[in-house]
Amino acid sequence: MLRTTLYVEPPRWLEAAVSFLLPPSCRETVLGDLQERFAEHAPSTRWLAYVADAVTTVPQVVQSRTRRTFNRGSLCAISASGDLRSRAEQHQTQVWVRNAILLVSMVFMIGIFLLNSGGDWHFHESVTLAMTIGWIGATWRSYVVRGRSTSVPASLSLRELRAFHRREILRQMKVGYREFIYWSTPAALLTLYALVAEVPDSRRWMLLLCAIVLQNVVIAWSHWMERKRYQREVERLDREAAEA
Amino acid sequence: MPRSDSLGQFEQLVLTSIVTLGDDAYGVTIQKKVHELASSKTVTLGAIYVALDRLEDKGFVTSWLSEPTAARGGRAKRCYRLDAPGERALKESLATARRMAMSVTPIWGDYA
Repeated sequence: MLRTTLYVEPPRWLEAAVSFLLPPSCRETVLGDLQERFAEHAPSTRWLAYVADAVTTVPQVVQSRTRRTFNRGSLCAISASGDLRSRAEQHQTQVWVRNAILLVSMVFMIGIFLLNSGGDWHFHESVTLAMTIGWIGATWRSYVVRGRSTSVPASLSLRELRAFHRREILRQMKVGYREFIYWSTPAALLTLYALVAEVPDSRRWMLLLCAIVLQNVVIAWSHWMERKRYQREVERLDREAAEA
Repeated sequence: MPRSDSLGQFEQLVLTSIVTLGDDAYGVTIQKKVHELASSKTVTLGAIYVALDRLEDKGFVTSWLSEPTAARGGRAKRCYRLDAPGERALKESLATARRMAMSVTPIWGDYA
């Protein structure tokens, strides 16, 4: 990055917050445009103007990019036709959409748990806590183990772009069974606790067990599907590199 | 392949801005130009991006990334130019607007 102090720049934390919310395919250009506009305002109103610009820009950009992502094909269609750059950008957008969905669902689950958690401990609280732990685990895997989406650098040769895209896909394949087990264990232990101590009714046992099993099956299945899809893209990249 | 040849008023403004700006047509400059053309209306950067995405999907404009500049914190600009279907659609819109103006001028006189 050609950062220099000669130019007026918005605070890093503010840029980082806006960057977090923007899809990777337009992150670089939108942040650049916002910075240009930031520099045009009077020093006393720059901050406010930047925040106002971000507030009016980000939701519309997110909506438009999400629409384009879904219009161009489902999230499982990464191996569709398209040049290497658009495939790399599409991949980063998919990572961004997946992370956003996980983050929102985790906040939603925590909210449900907090709403349920008043008073004595009941059956449904065990369910929501187990679910919340499961979603926190899935979100942690997405953000920390696999990492956030990144912008595809503008000035890369075809070979560098291929290497970049391959590296990014391998990063998304990093989740192994250990990360999965770490986060499934607390939910499983909680289920056992609920079964033994809290839930005398066998019908409720089954319901609780099914909820936890279903959640973990969904998470494991989505990991498996993603891994297969990424593997196909890696093979395609290797094939293209060999042909080149 | 364009999905629809019709242009909304905002899309006409965006396409006109791209034509007049030439090689310097990117988010900020397009927004300023549209604001200038639309006179009193407030135009947000977000609305410009949405319109540009839509026009690109219709095949009316093409975009490319410029070299990164220090004034933008080392970030590239996404520049736009009109494609043949976009040019055709804009010309049709302008011709329609001209015909409309000609037909109401005898009634309203100088209405601008």
